[in-house]
Amino acid sequence: MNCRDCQQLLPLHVGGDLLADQVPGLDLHLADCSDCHGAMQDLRRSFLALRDAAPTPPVGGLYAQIAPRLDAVDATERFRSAPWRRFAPWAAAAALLVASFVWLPKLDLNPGRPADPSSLESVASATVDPGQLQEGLRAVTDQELRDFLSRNAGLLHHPSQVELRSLEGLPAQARFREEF
Amino acid sequence: MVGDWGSQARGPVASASAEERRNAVHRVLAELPTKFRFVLSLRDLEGLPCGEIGERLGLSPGTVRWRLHHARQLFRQNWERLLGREEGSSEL
Repeated sequence: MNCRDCQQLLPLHVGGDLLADQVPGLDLHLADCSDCHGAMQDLRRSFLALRDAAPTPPVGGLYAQIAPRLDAVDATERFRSAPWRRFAPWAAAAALLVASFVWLPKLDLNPGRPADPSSLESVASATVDPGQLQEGLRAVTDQELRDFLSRNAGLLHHPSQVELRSLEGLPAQARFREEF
Repeated sequence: MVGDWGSQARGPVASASAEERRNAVHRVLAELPTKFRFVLSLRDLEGLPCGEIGERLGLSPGTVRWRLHHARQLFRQNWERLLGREEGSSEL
């Protein structure tokens, strides 16, 4: 490579824009030629001055930095302008209303009240067959059961009439074993 | 990088702040013909690869490289002229 060829390539070489196969010959010539080396240094100074004036970061990098924020802004705007947001308060109110109709009747607002006497009566009136007693257990008379249920009406209330009803038809002694 | 050229030039540009040097560079760029200024700005200021510059400007890769070659030569001549002029004025 002669000096003329070399200096034709220098402007691209200074910015790393030469084709890969042009670089080795050029570097070889620059190592031996002080004139071309000096020309290369002049070009490098002006090139570096230009590079130093570049906005920081370069445009490509700037976009990469702000892209996530732009996405976040877009997402926020989409959320704010979503059509369903206009109906959300009404939907929430309707859901609350439905929940109140479904759930409130099941809510026991007075857990300390005595049990329904009619349900106590139905439980206490069940019969006991002494032949069905297991060893170690004694039969409970209807009166004992009635007295116990009356004394503990508050406790018995919480399982509520549902459980009392479920005990109906069982021997009183069996009810005692399962319940107490 | 700044010291690379700044240490060898002794005029007002060399001792100027980064903002003033940036303004000087843009003055030199503004003197270049438009077709060279576009390619040089996109490549050396914004860091775009030659291929993308060609796509943006509708030019072939060969044309981009040819314009870049001439643009860097012109910029160097004008930049050195600015430095020389300011060196001369600082000596007066």
